[in-house]
Amino acid sequence: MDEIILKTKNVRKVYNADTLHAVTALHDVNVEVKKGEFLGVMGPSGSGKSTFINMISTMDVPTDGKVWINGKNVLAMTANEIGHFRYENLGFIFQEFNLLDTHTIFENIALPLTLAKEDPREIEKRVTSVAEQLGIANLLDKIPPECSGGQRQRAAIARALINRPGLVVADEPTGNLDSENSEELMELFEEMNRNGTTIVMVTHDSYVASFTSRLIFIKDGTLYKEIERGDMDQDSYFAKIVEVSAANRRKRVSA
Amino acid sequence: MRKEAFRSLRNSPANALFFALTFYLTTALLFAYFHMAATVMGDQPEVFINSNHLADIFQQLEKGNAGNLMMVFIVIMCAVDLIFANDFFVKNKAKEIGIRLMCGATYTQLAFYLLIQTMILMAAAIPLGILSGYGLLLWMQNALQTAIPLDGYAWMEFIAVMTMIVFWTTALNCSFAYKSGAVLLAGGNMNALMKKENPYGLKKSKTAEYILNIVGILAALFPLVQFAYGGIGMIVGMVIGCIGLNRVLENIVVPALTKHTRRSSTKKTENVLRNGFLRRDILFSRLPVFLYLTDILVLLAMMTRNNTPLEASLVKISYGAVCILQALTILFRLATDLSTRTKEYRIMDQIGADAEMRERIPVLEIVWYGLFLLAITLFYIGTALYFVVGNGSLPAGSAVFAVLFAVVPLLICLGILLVYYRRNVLGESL
Repeated sequence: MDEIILKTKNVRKVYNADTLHAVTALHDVNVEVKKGEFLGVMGPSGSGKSTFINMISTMDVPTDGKVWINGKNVLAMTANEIGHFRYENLGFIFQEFNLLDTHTIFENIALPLTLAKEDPREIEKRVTSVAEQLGIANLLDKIPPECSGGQRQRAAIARALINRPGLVVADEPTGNLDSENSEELMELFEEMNRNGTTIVMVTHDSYVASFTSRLIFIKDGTLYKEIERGDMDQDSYFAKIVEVSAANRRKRVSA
Repeated sequence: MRKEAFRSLRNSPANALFFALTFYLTTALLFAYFHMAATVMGDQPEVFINSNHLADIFQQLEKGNAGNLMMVFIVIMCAVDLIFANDFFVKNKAKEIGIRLMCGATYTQLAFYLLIQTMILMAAAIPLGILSGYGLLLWMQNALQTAIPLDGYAWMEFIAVMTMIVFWTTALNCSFAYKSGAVLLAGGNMNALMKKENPYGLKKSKTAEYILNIVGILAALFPLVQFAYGGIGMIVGMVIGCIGLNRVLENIVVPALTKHTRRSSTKKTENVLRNGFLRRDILFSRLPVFLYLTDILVLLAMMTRNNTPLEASLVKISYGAVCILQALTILFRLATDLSTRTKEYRIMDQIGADAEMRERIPVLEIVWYGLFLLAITLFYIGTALYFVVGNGSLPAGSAVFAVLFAVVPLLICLGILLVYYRRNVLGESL
């Protein structure tokens, strides 16, 4: 049986709970992600994609339900335990790169390792190695504002991968990149996935979603549809994604 | 518009308070200064009024009394302080101003909106400043047993300079606001700090860099040679010194800190984070730090002249007030940058830095920045005093006064900065 790395059970999120302006962003969402999977999450604006990713990445706490990562119930952890859990088990990649603009690329990438109290020589070795793999070895002493968008996103990926996390969570990682850099980034994600990294990625771009192995659609806070790539080639998978997205939109228009 | 301006001030009381405090100190200093200068000058010709020839002005400045020499210097320093105070005041309003711009506010409307806020703060700060300046004059009269009367000419000068400052501040407010708002709308970031690589297409060899660094160190030490042997004039000496110091900070200190962080500071996350922030603080605050050092050394050189008792008091009061104003300038400069650091703390949280660590970082950063600032200040002032006290041109009591006024306002401002940092930046990021 495939090992489950992420599991959510009846996850519900209500913003402004117990007020007159309570909004339910997620309704009893149940998802399982197997080790080595590349899961995509799609949906229109305001559908609850980002809320979902915040719940599964320990960034936010659900109103109800449970989240397990690597078999651990993350909701039962204290704030400090969550901090440790993040740098040991999770890697994050965001649309805005979320790098420290005050620190060099080397320092940004090294941060999860310093939190894990790795030896400085080991840190130097691993940062240099991952930077070489990602083609940013010559940028290690620069600060992020001195780098291009694509270079910054590579640095963010290097930081996400440096502690060899069980799960990489990416929220619209191509949102700030041009088409060439987006294509390169997705090829990099595919390669990471082939090497065994489990990825959960939120996107609104059908082409970007066609790089995933499974895709879930969220609509109004509920899981609306799920498709698996299986044996489909990328073009057929892309066509299927477009079809489902279009059907979803048509329903909204006719409704 | 008036109600909105009041509301805007109420929403950022710390900014308003510090802005008003700068006005208050500037007013008190200028009021006391102009009256004392009028008394000091007595019947001597007023170089800025009577002479239209640059050569005459320089000649009279060279031979003139302390009041003449410092007039331009003090007014320029007050204006510079207001530039940084404005930057701090308006930076936090960038979002609000950006939204107003997006909604179609005209430049005149924006200027009027900011002018109301400035006027409200000035209405509170200027009368208090005049009262305090008058109090200072009374105290000086008792201390020196010399009459320092309220002089019509001094009032005229004071009003003229204050009017210029009001216009200057308003113009700055508008231009900063407009720029900040526009940068915000364009999604601007910290590009201002980006070091341009070979801006003229010239590549320097390692040897050339090495030689330039040596020249930089020598230039940075040049002002101290002035104190040891005399020379071309303290202001010119400080210009050379600041150019050298800039080279030393940018090409020696900061790269060394980066190298050290990479080699050995990765043992502790706090050290990596502290060093990165410290590097940024050093580079971002260098201009006010250079001005601070220039003020201290120029006024210290003035203290060593053969001044009359009243002139000596005038120089000392100016020294004390300028030290306070320049410490505030450094505070404003750093606070302006720190106010944008909420994002950095959120990222630390995402990566897994716990709350205790995030609480410790501001303390570590400000303490280490304070140590850097004190080290550089004490190095310059200490060496200068060593020479001038050693050759008998400055009494030991004045040296103690000089050190105290150079250090105490800085420490107080760093303490205030730490409180601001923890409350406004760290507090918002949690």
